[in-house]
Amino acid sequence: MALEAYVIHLLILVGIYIILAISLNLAMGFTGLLNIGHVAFYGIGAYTSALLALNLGVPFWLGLLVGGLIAALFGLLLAIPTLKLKGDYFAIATLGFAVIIENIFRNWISLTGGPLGLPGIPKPSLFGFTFSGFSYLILVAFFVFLTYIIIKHITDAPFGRVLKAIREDELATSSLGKNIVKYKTQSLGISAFFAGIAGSLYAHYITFIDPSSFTILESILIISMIIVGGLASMKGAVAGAIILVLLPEPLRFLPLPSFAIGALRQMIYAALLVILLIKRPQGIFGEFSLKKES
Amino acid sequence: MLLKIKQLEKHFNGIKAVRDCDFIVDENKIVALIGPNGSGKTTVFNLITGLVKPDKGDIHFKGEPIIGLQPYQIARLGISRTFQLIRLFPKLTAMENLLLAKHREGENFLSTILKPKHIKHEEKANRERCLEFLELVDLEDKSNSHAESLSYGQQKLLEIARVLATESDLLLLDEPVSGINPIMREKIKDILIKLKKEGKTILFIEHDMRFVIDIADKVVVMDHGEEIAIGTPKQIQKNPKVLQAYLGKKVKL
Repeated sequence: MALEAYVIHLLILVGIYIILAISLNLAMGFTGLLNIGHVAFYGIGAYTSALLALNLGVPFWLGLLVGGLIAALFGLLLAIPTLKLKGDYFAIATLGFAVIIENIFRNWISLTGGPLGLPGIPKPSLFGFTFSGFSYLILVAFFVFLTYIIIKHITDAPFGRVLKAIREDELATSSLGKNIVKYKTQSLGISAFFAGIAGSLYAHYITFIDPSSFTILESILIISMIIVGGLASMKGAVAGAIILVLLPEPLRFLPLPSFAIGALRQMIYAALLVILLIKRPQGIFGEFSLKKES
Repeated sequence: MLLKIKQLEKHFNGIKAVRDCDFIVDENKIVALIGPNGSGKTTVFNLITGLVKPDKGDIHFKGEPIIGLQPYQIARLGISRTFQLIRLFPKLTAMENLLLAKHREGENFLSTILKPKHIKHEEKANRERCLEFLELVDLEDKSNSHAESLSYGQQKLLEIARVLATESDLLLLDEPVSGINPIMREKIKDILIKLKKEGKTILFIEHDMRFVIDIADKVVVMDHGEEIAIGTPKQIQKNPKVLQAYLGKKVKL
């Protein structure tokens, strides 16, 4: 029974990370926006939905949607000052954004509870049925499926083709009559929306959130997922999330003290990334390499 | 007149890249922009397409001023260009490269979500149209190849096909036949002449004089950022200023 609960727990986390990876992939893999601040949208979704539930008694379903929308709004706001920045500079600006948001979670104590976080977030319920354990897994799976088909639809459509064109050559894209700023803003907004949804799913699953879940390390983890899986590949984002969540799990069963396991986990991620980038720079399913060609 | 350039001037850190540039491109004509390297030809293209803002002067397209507009807005008015160094989308297929030339509803986010049927329909029509342009440059069998996998010459042709696929009124071609083999060069010549017959207007930069003489109705010559001569290819060939710009001054010993 304990093992079953453990497996369900892992699968729920896999699901939440799949949503995060797919949504980041839209901005980073397809549009070429090197967004290091994705975790901020995840956190904004989580806090929005948790605060709505705790303070106003807003039901999960509405909180989830509002969490997504508020995250999207922040995505659009972030777009305004940053979209004129090129590659690396955009990355640094988004890094700054993530740090600011994390600090707000940590220091706006009257609202967010600061480092103590927000305990007692209610589990979602529908007509008296409360989602937890296996039923929560089904719920997460539903949102994974929804996110997957929506982003797949977007990226397969002519709209997605423009995003890819922007990634390849902005100047040529604008000389074909495309409003680059508009497309990038939309891409960032949609990406943030789904990250917000993931945040809400996380908050109502764990029922407790604090700033430590939304640090920049979390962003690095999500970025690693889509790089391992392959940038601009839907399958890749899914595979990357599964691999990076499950890979370090067997370590738990080793007879090691917990501090060593934490460190070992980080080392495994790092080693995996280095090996992969040397052996297969385009990722498992990707066709788009991080390596500069020629 | 379709395009009117008046008193155009552009400095880069004190260097005058373009000055006193005045010329007119009439509708349904092929105009060549020539001059030695560094004479400001590409800067003129960048000024027309809005990639660079001028310090002085006016550019009118179809009677409307276009200075200050964003590059995408200028493109939508009906000016499209190719680049001296090819700028394709390397990881997209040849077909996708052309489809991007079409501005249409399907690229709109809301329509993507709300009107998938309509978009599919539009996409199908666009594919057929784009295939015609691929056929025109003999690349129809490369339709599904990534642009980066094509040879230099094929990429050049694909870029020309892409600018044609925009179906703009004014086409700006930056060295359309540089690095192109003689057979393909003739082919491009035929394509441009055919486009003119269909009512298009073309302004192109080229160093290949035979190509210029064969197809241009009018030649604009630039040197050191200044426009030094305008005329028919025949007049230009005899113009002493032009000869001097290309061959140098006679020195008395």
